[in-house]
Amino acid sequence: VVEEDPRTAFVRLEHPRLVGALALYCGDLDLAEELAQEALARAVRDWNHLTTLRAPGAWTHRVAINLANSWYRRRAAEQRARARHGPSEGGVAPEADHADVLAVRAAVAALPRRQRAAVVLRYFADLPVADVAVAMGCAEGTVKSLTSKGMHALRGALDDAPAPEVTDVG
Amino acid sequence: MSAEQERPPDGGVDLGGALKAAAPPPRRPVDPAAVLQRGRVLRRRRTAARAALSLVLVLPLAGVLVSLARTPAIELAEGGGSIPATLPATEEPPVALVDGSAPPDLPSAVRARFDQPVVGTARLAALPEGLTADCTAPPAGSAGSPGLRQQRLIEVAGAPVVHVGPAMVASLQVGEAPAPPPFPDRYAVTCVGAPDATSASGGLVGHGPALTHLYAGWTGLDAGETAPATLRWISAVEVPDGAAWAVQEQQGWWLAYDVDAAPWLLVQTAEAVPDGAGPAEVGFPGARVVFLDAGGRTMAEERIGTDAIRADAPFLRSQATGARIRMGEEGALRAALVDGPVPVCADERAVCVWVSLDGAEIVALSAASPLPAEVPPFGFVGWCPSEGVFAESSAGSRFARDGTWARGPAPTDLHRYGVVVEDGEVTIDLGRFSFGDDRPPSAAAGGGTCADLQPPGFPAP
Repeated sequence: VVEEDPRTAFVRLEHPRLVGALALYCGDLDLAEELAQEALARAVRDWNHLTTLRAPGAWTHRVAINLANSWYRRRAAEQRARARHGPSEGGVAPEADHADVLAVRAAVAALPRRQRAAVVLRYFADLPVADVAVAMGCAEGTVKSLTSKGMHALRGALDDAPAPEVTDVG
Repeated sequence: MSAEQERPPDGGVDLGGALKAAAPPPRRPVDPAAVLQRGRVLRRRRTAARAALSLVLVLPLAGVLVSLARTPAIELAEGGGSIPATLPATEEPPVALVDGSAPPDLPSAVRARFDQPVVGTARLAALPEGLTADCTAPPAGSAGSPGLRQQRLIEVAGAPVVHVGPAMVASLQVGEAPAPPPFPDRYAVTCVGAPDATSASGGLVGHGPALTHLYAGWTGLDAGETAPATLRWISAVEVPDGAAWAVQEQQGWWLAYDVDAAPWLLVQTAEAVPDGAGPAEVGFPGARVVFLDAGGRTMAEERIGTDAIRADAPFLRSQATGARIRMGEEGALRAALVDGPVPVCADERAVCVWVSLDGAEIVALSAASPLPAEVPPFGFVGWCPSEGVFAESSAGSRFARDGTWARGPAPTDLHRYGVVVEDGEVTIDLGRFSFGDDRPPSAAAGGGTCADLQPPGFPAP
């Protein structure tokens, strides 16, 4: 049996988690796939360093979130471009999803960015608080506060509102 | 405590499960081969970028060293004597900054401003007892070396800082300054450094009002580099009318300075690269130049690389030589400026300035673009006579005659140097530098090419 290259195995393992987390964080599946691939490429680039880490998955999520944050900084210009060229086709395939799923996505998208990052990393990616803190570059207490507030806001949004008629969470 | 237990109660609603259900799966399975190939490309690019940046950094700095070599000594303020124009090079190999000890905890406000690099900071209420004003004599109890003397300053102060390691102060070099006057009453001590990076540097020290500048030798050894540590460049920060002590070593900076007399200090440091480059990398992506004020607050910071070259090279190079440009009689200069701004360069054309008018005031505007990526001589700010404005050569930003941003991607107004008018004579003081004000945040971008752009005089690339 030929053992799979550890980098290949890592890429296969982390890709779906990264795509899901980034899709929730950015609200754009195409973008999430693109950023996930870039984050994994950077993991490969820094593989020697990665192998020394306790939580290489958390490191990769941090890279992904940073890439997404960079994307946010360009977002205003992109939105102007979208306004000129019509709506994006890169949404999260809303026609295939149920209304409650759309409601969750919309509620996540409505969270402040840091709360959203904390909630996605903590509850979607299942990273421990310590790893989320590393990924976000903040203290564990901050992570707990952000996730608590984020989950409270999510709970409120999902309790108060019916499934929204959204077609694109991005 | 398990991860599940740490979670806040969901009040009966499984929000974690809802999140997982809401997250879409990838549309396409990942192609590991493509990812690995992309990773290899990124690694090659980074290697090439570092090599290119090394050239960009070393070449202009080599020019500074050449100019320094021509100068037998750096002139100090009146009565201050002189110190050697070049500081001794260190022969020590790079060592880790922290010798196994953990950095101290910092106030959260300080840590929040500096991420990793700040190791410790403290403010002293009085001159440490046992430290004499004579820089040639070690304080009581020390073994006598200059390094130990500086170490003593920190120790006796009882400041809540940690020693970064004996090597940090072991190679301190003291300039041959004359006997300094007594120290002022208040000091701040700051240590800045990246604990997990390696580098080596020459030492520096300056003190007393006799010294107008604080000189820093820098060997430029990068993480992992094993070449002999030779002094590659020297920089200086102005210490107006006050005493200052400083040690710069092993990528950490200990600074003890009069908080009233020194309004700001420059620190070169490194940060952990958040996008995953691993340990902090000295000098290249991740490193930055920080301007601190005397209270430890950040006044400005620039990333090393093209940003820092653009931001600090005119400033540091001019400081190193103390360049002043005599522009002649004020009336004649004003008459010449009626027709348009006048370019002038110094430091072997490393620094170019547009002399212009801001209303009735004569101003010296940096010909280096405020855009970080536009590094002279590849990018510069020229005069566009057909439009009556300044224009960037590459990005096309426009600036009014007084340097105020008009349009284009430039983030700020043009930076300025000092202008002194004495006895009817105008002199540009390249030792005084101020960043341009930020442009309006909502202003529309959009540059364009100037058909008759006049360059300021940088040498051809």
